[in-house]
Amino acid sequence: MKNVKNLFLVDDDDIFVFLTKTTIERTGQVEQTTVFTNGQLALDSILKNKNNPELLPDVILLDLTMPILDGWQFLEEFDLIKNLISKTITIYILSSSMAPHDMERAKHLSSITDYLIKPVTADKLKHLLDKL
Amino acid sequence: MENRKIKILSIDDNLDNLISINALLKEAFPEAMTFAATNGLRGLELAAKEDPHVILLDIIMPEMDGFEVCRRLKAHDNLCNIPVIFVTALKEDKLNRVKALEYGAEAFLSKPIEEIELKAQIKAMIKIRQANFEKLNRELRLQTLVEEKTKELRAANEVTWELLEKLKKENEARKKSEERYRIINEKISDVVWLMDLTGKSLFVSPSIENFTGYTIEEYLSQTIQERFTPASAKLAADSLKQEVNYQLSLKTPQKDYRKIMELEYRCKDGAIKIGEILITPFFDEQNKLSGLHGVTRDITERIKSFQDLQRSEAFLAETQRIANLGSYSFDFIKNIWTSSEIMDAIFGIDTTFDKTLEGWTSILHPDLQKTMIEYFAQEVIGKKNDFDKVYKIMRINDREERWVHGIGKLRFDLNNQLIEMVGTVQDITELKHVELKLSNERQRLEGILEGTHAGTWEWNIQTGETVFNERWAEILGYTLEEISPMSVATWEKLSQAEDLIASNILIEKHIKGELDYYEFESRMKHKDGSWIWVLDRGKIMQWNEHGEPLLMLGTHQDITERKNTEAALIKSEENLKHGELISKFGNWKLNTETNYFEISDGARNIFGLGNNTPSLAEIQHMRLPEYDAMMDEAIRALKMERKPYDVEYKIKRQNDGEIIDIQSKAEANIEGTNIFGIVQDISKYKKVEAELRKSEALFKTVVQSSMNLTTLSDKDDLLVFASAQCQAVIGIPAEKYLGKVLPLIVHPEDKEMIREKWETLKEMGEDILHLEYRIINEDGTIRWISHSAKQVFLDGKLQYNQSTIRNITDHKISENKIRQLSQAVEQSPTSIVITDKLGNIVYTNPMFSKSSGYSAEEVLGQNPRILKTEYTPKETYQEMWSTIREGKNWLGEFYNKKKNGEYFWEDVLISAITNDKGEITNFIAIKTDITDRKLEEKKKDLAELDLLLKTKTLTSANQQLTDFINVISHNIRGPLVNLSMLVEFLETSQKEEDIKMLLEKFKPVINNLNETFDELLESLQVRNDKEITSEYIPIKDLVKTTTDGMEVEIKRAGARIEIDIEEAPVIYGPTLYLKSIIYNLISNSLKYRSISRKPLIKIKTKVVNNNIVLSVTDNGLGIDLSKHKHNLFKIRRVFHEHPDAKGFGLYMTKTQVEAIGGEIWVESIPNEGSTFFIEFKNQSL
Repeated sequence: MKNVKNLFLVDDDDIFVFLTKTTIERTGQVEQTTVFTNGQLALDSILKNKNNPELLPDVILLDLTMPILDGWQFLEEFDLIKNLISKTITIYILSSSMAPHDMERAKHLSSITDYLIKPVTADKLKHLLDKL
Repeated sequence: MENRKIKILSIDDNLDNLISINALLKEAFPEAMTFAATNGLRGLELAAKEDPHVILLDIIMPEMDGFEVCRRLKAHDNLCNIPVIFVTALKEDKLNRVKALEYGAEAFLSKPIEEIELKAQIKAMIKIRQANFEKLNRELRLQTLVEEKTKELRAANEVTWELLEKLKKENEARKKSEERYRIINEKISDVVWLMDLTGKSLFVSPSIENFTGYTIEEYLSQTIQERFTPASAKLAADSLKQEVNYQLSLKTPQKDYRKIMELEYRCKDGAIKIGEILITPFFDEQNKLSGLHGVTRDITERIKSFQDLQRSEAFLAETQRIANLGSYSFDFIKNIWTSSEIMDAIFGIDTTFDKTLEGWTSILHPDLQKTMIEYFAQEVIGKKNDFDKVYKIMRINDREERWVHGIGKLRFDLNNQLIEMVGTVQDITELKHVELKLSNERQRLEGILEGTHAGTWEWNIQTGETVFNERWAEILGYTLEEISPMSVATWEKLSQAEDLIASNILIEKHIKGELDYYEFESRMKHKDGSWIWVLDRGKIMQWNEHGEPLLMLGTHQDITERKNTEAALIKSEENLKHGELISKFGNWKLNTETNYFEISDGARNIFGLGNNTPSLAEIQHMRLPEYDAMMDEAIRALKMERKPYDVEYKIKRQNDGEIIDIQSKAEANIEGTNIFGIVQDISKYKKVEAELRKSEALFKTVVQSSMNLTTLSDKDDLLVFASAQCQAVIGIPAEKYLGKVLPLIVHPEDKEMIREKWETLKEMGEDILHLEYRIINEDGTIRWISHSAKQVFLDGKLQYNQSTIRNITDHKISENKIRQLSQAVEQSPTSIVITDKLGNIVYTNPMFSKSSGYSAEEVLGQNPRILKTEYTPKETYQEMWSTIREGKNWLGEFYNKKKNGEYFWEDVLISAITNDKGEITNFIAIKTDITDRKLEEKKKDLAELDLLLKTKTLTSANQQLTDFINVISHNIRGPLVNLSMLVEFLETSQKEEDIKMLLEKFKPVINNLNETFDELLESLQVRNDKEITSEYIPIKDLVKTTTDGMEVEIKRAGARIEIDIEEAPVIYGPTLYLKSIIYNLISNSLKYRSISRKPLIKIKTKVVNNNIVLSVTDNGLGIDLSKHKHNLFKIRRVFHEHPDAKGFGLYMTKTQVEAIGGEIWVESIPNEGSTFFIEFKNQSL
């Protein structure tokens, strides 16, 4: 059963994106997965569709290290616009960094549901999607 | 005027205007009748038909415009009095206004019409109309009066003439009747009859039938009752008996006996005729009485004529008597006049008077005898004019002066000769008296008025119409013309507002009859703008039939001079009394009935009002709000209970806003109609009071907290009084020793001296002054006191010894301390220098000499700058001086020179010494030689610097370590994650192509991992490259060799490189790093160039202190520093979506810069370009 309509995968590592997207598709729980290679592109899409819940993501998997607008910057911008958005969006950080200061920083952001460390296995993803 | 009677006609060609005016009129005069005409002709028709009170007239109308309508109205006899108000939109059109006024318009209204103005104008117009009417009416009335008077006169004359005519007629009638009588006598025979002694008629002549209508036979057969009226029958019967008896009684018949009597005969036709009967006796032949013989003559007509004459004469007499009109006729020929009784009464004469011309002359008043005789001779006899004269007579009987009006009509004979004058004389004395009295009164009044130089006025109370005389106007500086048209409004306009109100009240009282006359002194505005005083007196002279006052007459007298004198007197009295202005007094007055409020100049001054006349509210507004409740109550009590108030409050003065204290007193007169008040500025007093209170408080504080004990003791040294400080000053509770000797235990060494002084005081009266001595406290300690004492005399008699004692123990201790201190200063291990306020040394302590090598004598009068060296900067001295001159302490260090030339460090504290007034008198410097300490400090500083550097290096290393962890966690772990995921995918894939595709993906991941490793190794190499050697590198050469290797890229980009290194052409550093840095920065500038412009790269050096800053500026894409500032120099961070962006160049550059102790930073504006700065430290140029 596809309980997630729309998932944003925001990451600039094309190999990782390919592998993760395939994993997501294999769970069969996501109708559509959209990939953005930096935070700015994801933010633009959200802003564009802010009044159109159909096109807004239900969940975002967000990398931290990206060009143009990195994960942290994306979250800052998102905080400013989230009241304008007609939908509640669940955001997971998905990073290869195991640095404690990154995790600590993520804890203080209310928009973040959880901090996930790469890689994301199929089981872990399923479990995560089930909760939505 | 009642609204319902008002008729208003509006003429306007615009229907909308008419409707709106009509609406306004209905609003303003709800009960008025309004008419409207849409053109001039129709308007004129309506005006003639309805006779409106006011006409509202539009100017611009087709066919006949407003001016023409107005002209026609004003030219019309009946319509000219209707006031015309022009209604025009041309508000500013003077020409039209002038034109309209010339055409006779009374007023103007401008569109849009305001209701208030409309109302006011119409009311004014109605008043004018009313006044016009009244005037017209008055004229008419006068005319009528004249006519009536003329008529009356004519009537009076006519009556006289009528009477005269009647008299004439009567005379004629008499003449006629006499004639008839004569004819009857002549033509009709008397009735002859004969009767016997029984009364039986024996014979009657045929004329009886003519007389009674009865035939002889009929007459003879009649009884005596049938023949006569009852009275006459009786008379006849009685007379018969009487006569018969009388004749029979006679011895000798009396043949010539006759008796005449009148009897009333009954005629056959019922009429009664009067017969005059002559009776004679009738004798027979024997001379024996046989009957009576009679002759009856008809005298009916004669009697009747006579009776008529009598009646008419009586009537005339009565009439004349009533009119006090005597009548006369004068016979010119015989010089005799006959007169009626009334005339005789008027002249006071009787029938015996000499009724001749001379007689008449004698009646005339001596004063005008001559005039009257002349008049009579010339006018009447000479010119043959009828006599008509009012003249004075001296009544004959009582010699009283009377006025008579004589009229005489002349009669002429056929030869036109004067024969008779017939006329009347009327006594008009009373009338004349009244007239005279009036005229006298008038003359007297006029005289008085002339004399008093008073103006007069007549006021028609009902119409408001007022007439003033020339003098009235003159008093106010006008001519009558100037104040015309006159109305009561003229007066009101010129009157002072308050006086007008008061005056109206008085007039009202007079009208009600409460005052006999109206009298008031009021102020009026003179033409020149000044106020003059006028005494006004008036009285109502006429009332109408409803008992309403109609006319009031009065005088106006200029009493300004008197008033001014009075006012000056009052003023000077007031000034004397209050010294108002000087003492800041002011007064005010409020009339509670009229609410008229008046305040004096003094009050104006206090309130800061200038020349303004304030309203009561305005004055009250100046009061500070916190006093409102108190004042409201005071005013209420004053108004309701006549309770005067005396309050103090504060106001905010109007002119300067200053808050001042006011004392305000007010009281009302008994009637409560006027409130009089005075106000005083008591700010000064308040201030003094406050100061007094303060000084009192201060005094109290001083006394209470005073150090002094005051005691009084009597001649036996018994304590009478001791102030509260007793315990504090001498440690003995005074209350225990009242009436006893104070148990002071004086120090044994001082005892003798005290005893001596005390005795000298008591015996010689010599005061003790500040005698200082010791007493022993309870606990055995010593207390120093200062004691002054003197004798106190009351009524010239010694009463007490008064002591003032002060505890000076502390003072003594201080004294000791000072002594100790000065010793301390002398022996101080620190240098002490005291200068005067100019900085000249006045004192140095021994330590100073020891420390500086200068003796005290050497430096006295010198400036401390003798110690100065060039090593202490100028600014330090400047700062020191400005600090200590402000009275603050200055703490600092000087590097000074001793007398022997040796340098030394001094720690210096400089303070200002001030006197009681806080003025700086001296400076004191306390100095310590800190040369040794300084050396220690320097060592310590060097150690600290070392530590700082080490810390910095450690911090930097720490940061690098963190960065390294980040690199490992992201840059190494990232690819590892990918690899592990790929492996997992491989394991679960069966399809050939899937496996192939996955295998292909391994390569880039592994390449990435390799690159990262190489870079990390490279950077680690840099960090550990301790052996790398620095040398002086010419920048120009370095840039050249670097760009040579990038020729292809530079050419492809079309870039230009500018070099400006004149300020620092050479940098000291490792060639390899510098080359790498320059390469990376130029390479970045090329990589991130803007597509819209050719790349321009500027390389510049700049010297900052001991360092050189190298900058590389481009005009490329720039970096959004607000986003990327923190990640800019981190490894594997890219900020552009550029295919070559790897995120290694800047990381490497930073690593290299920091390896040689330099710093790198960036300034950038997106889309304009970036500048990278690299600071190379310690270039030792």
